[in-house]
Amino acid sequence: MKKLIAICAFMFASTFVMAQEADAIIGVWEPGNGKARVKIDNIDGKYYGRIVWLKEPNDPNTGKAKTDINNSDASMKNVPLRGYRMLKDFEYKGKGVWEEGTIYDPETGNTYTSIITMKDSNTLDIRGYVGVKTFGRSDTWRKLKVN
Amino acid sequence: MQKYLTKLSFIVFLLVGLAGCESNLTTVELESPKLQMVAKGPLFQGANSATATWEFDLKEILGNGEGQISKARITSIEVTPKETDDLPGLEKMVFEVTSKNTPMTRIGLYEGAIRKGEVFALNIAEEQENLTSAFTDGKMTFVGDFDLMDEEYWGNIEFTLQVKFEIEKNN
Repeated sequence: MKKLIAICAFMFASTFVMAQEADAIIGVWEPGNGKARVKIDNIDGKYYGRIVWLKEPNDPNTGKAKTDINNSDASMKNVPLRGYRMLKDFEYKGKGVWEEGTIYDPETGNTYTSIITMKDSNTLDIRGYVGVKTFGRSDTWRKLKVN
Repeated sequence: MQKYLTKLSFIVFLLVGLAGCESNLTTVELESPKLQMVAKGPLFQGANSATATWEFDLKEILGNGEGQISKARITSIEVTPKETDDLPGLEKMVFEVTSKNTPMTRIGLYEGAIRKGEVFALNIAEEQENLTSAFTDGKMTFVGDFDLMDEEYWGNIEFTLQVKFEIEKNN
């Protein structure tokens, strides 16, 4: 009986620790180019990132708020870039790695398979690739302290 | 001659099979119940998210419990902000759907102001992922991203949501 309780307690503790580790990614992050800030949240156990700030929120040609003009679906080209969900469907796999997700590049309209690795509590390595992981591109994001 | 007859009978068999499959496909419209879509506060100026979850029994959706869904798409999304004394300035809504085995897919867009008590229908994306897997998962999550215009921060904001689907099922 004691053994069973110990096993249950261990499993509960492991699940709790895993959930805490997974949620370490939640927060506001800035990509290497500093052009945007992305807020990462947990929705139903998966992780998503939305653009919450843009260095240049307006299109210099029109003076209007930037939208997803490179989207292949014409009916969605008016979706505002501020608030855009560019990181989608990441699942925590343990050891500071989130996989199974995608990253959207609004500057090209392309979506890439992506892996996020937490280097330390304030640094993410985000790798996007098509097909083979080796031929992808990585970017370093830093966490912003929100008061 | 025998070879020719074998080929011919195979082709006839194939055509009969295909015709049989086609006749078993039926398209039906399905409406979700009215769901509460909630953005949990504190909410700040700028982009915020409201979420709603719909859990259902696939057997009930299929009617007699037999067959399976081969194709599903959203045809209509209607959202109504909950009647309250004071609602902050709200604008635009981008609507997405996800489930355990369905990547988050953008389905709808509304570009005007959001006023309390008024029903607003979103424009539906022409290109949609097939939402079949969302039905087999038995649970869907809807996400509505909207803009909060006020500089003050707010508590929870609630909407009523109703989604219509067009599903193709094999009997």
